[in-house]
Amino acid sequence: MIIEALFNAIFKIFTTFLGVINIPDLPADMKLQITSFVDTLITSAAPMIDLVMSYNVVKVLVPIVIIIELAVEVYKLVMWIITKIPMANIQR
Amino acid sequence: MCSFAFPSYAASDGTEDIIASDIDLTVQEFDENSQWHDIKNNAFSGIWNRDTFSRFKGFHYVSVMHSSIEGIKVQVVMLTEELDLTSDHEYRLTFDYGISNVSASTSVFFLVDLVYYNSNGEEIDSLNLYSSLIENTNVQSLDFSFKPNTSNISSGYACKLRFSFQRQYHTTELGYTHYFISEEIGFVDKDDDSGWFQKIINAIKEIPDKVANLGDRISNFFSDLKNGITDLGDKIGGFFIELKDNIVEGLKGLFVPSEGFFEEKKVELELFLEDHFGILWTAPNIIISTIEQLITMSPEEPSITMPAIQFTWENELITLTEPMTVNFNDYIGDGSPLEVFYNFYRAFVTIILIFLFINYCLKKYHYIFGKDGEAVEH
Repeated sequence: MIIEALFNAIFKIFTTFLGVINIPDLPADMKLQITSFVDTLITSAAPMIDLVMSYNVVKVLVPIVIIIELAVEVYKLVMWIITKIPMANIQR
Repeated sequence: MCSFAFPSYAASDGTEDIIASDIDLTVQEFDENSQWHDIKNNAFSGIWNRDTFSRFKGFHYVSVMHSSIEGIKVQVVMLTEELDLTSDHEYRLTFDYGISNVSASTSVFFLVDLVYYNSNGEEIDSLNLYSSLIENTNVQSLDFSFKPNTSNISSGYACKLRFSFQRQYHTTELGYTHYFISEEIGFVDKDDDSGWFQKIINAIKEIPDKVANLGDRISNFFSDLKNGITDLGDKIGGFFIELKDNIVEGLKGLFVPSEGFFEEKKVELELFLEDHFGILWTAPNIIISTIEQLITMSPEEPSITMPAIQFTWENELITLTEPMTVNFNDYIGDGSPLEVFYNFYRAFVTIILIFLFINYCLKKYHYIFGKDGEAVEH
């Protein structure tokens, strides 16, 4: 009950503050076009990549690279927020 | 109303209440051979429940027609369990019945029959006790007496009461219909229903038996008392164990969220992000599906595929080039002249890729943690 109440309170604060943000979504047609284009791109590009280098290696490394890049971006964002807190006394 | 209910009902579940499962209900269709058989038409279905109908409490069969079954003659049959009847005795039957949601032009017949069965459960004979055309949708009361067939009872045939609602459906009657039988059904053996004087005589006759049982009753009382005292200790111990369990459960309930709480919140959060962050929420999903597709792809042969170049012009699909695939398998595939060289090349590129990846990881590590534990600006 306590955990639930705490979690609900955090959720309420989160949704109240972020509720003012209203970014529109992509139109459904455009989403379909993008996914369709990406499908075609990957289907056509995969054999080409395999011609130059081993695709089995590429398909393992590329997702790891993407994850690392995203993690670094999240790290940058978090650090940017933390450096704005004077009491934290963290500077880069 | 003198309410005995059906003796057979009382026997079925040990109570004197009639419950829905005490009544054997079937819905039958009149076939081309003028015989009733259990209905197989999916257009007709229903539920059997216990509810209040026009302020009368009782049992309903609520039927619904899903599509047109015009002309089909249907009967809803409610069959009691076996009755214990005595030949030459007269029985009185009192109950309420009714229907609803039936148009004035529709004829619905209500019949009460006493049905006799042999030891194999086959219907041997039946005696119609009551038959009437239902003229309105109100609940009607019925009170009549009957005598069972002496020869059938003497032959040891089982007998049951059968209530039937018979009607012919029309296309305009799609929807629900209630077939109702009251919960309180009077069923009295009039020849066994003696007057007040006979009741007094019977009570006096029972006195010697009651006195004979007095010793047993006193003995049972002391036995129960001893058992009660013995159980008292267990009950006190059980109370404290139960109390402890309740306290533990209560404390657990304070800190442990209810089952499914986090799943529910996850869904709520996803919906919120989808509503408020639009494209920012969609973009990661597209990237994830792209990665998934990238992982699941597995090209079989080294080739280059040029996709078709086509576009729509004034609602007409114009194709400039068809999809075209150039396969290099003949030059670098198994048994080809360049196979060894190509395999060597692929191994070399793979090693370079792995080195590059390790170098990339090191760079990112140094970016975050620094070479000496301090972050490095780039």
